Amino acid sequence: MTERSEKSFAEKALDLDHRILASIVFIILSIMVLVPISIPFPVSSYGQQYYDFVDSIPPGETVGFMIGDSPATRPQLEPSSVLTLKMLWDKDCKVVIWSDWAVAIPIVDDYIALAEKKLGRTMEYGVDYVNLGYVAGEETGQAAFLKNIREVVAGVDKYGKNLDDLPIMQGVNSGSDFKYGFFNVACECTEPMYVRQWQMPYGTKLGSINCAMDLPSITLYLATGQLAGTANGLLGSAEMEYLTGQLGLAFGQTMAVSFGGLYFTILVVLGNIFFFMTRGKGRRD
Amino acid sequence: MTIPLFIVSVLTVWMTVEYFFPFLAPLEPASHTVQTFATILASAAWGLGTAVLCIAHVRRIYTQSKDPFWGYSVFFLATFFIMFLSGLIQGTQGSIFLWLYNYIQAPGDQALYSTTAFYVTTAGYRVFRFRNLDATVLLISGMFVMWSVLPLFTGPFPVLVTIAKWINNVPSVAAYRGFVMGVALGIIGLALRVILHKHREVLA
Amino acid sequence: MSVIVAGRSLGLAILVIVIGVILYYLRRAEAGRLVKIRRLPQIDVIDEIIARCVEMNKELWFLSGQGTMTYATQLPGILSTFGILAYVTQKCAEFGCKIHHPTALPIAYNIQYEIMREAYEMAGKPEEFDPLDTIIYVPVAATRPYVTNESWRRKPAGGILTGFWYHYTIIHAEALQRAGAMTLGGTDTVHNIPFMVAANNYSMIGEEMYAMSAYLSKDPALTSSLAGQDIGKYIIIVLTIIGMIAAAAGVDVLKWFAV
Repeated sequence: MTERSEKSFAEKALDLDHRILASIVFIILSIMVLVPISIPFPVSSYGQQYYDFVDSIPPGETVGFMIGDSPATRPQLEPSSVLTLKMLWDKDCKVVIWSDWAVAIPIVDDYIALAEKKLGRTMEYGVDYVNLGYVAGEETGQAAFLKNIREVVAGVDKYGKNLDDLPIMQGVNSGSDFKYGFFNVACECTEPMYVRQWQMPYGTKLGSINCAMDLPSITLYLATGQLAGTANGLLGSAEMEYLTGQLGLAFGQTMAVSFGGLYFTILVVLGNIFFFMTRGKGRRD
Repeated sequence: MTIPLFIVSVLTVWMTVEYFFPFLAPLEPASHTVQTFATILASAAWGLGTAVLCIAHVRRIYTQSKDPFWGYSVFFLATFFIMFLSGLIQGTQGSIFLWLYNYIQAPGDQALYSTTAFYVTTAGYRVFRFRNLDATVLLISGMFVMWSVLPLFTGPFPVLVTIAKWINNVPSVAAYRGFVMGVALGIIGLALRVILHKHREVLA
Repeated sequence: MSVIVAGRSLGLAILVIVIGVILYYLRRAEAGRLVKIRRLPQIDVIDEIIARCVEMNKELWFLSGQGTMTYATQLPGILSTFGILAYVTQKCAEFGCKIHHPTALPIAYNIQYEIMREAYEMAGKPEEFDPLDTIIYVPVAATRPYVTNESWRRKPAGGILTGFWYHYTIIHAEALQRAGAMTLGGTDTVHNIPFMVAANNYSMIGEEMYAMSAYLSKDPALTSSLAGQDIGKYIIIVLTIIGMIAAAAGVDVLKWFAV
């Protein structure tokens, strides 16, 4: 019996060099990033819930905001974080900021500057916001911090200023002093940590800014009401931009992501077609 | 090993008992101090780890004949000290530090993170098949959830959002809840093993 | 003042029961009566992967994930890799299969090094343990390019991915698959399980990893705590069913559970 030496078209397609597939997705995303197209889209319930949560915070409230973003996740989480800050400052809320990740320190400063730019005015340090810097120790550190802020940061902010001299920190020394809070945990998947150490002991209503990949973990807590809302990845950022009327990069990039998803769908369909073609002819998968 | 394990055991039991029984409330300030120690230790660990790493790389350079890749240690030490000294001298707001962060570290981080997209795409071509019932369910639910976050699909077909929301809120939550509880029980088991000194590896 | 903090009685009760069961099984195990754990099918998969590597005369890669041992929530996943690593390394040593373990766990590196070295000694082949290649430490950020490039160059025939994983899961699994490896992947990281299941030929979901580690290591402490965890799960199942029925009957279930 002669051996078949030629692969069928379907087999060749299934064995296609992955570099070709990757190159095509690179080209598609590059074109959409360079020439962004904005199209309206229905806002998801997650986006609407998060926006409503931020909107529901009473004016003048002191809010805790943990920003633990990273350069890698900044493109998708920056708009949500900056617009949240802007919405809070629009209502004269006071924002106490800290980080649970050292790499987030320069990013926090950028977010504050960007929010001020969107507001069109400079916020007064010590009155409108304070930056307490990096709090080490992961979950234990955050638990200690939320129990007694001054003890953990030695009574000073990131710049060495005494917290008692800052008006914003009057009467604020623990998680219970925040009725509302936010956390941006990048892709660290530490949302449950904040539910455990902030929401449950102190009853603070929390909003999460997280990567889309973490949504399955987040929905657990959204369903029970332990989290008040989530700005979920790039789409969450785009929805925030749309709902606040501040259309920007995230909104424009949703089409890039959409076309990437369309390409993915086409690949899945084609992969299945070729798979069944090879199976149908009794050849190897 | 005995003393560190003893400290770990005592602190674990103390923190657990304090969580459940209010009669330990007078010890709460001491508990908080212990928790604050963790913050200090974590900060110290950064410094210690960095020092050990630098020593290891200096040793590699010193004994270069044993390791053909000692040149990378030179590169590491050079970049480390440039970043370290710029942050130390100018602070994290300094121009050099920020330039290094924004134009070297951040793009590198973002580039590596972005490779995920390519791998997910090629994995989709290879993996998602109507092979059997399980694979079919995985494929269909995955596609619905993916389409629900893409405006290109949700614009013309808003029903995708409803379907994906059901998938996220019902079967997904049910499965993840059970899973999270199982992992939580695993953590309880581990804590007990540590308290009983049956798992010394935790102290490396 | 109440004896127990309000709202925590049920949690305390479950904790006490689980601890009690673990201690009971631990005493039995120390008296020589180990808890019987069923053989997981993934153990046969490990043997199959090693056999494939031996037949093809290629190496097996063991990837133990990321994370640090200082995180309490990451620790169980990391520790469960030790038992699996010991078994896999010993089997590889016995059958002459080269194993390569680029670990991204800085604290666990020393432990994993000793585990692998001892496994080679127990197999009677200490000379085959290469301290510069059998196990190497690769910083987390560098593991992506390392695994991608080296797996393409070295073309392992098998891969085992266990432990605590971040989002690099798909990169490592896919890189090994592209290199032609047959892979078994497992993690207890909730959001990475879909990637593990989708991208690998075989998978271990969550506690199957803990069970594998307990079964393979035959450690009394591990097997006893596994038994205690199972009892805890039964209790939770019963409470869930009771809660469902009560909630359907219109009872305010939350009040009961917030005792």
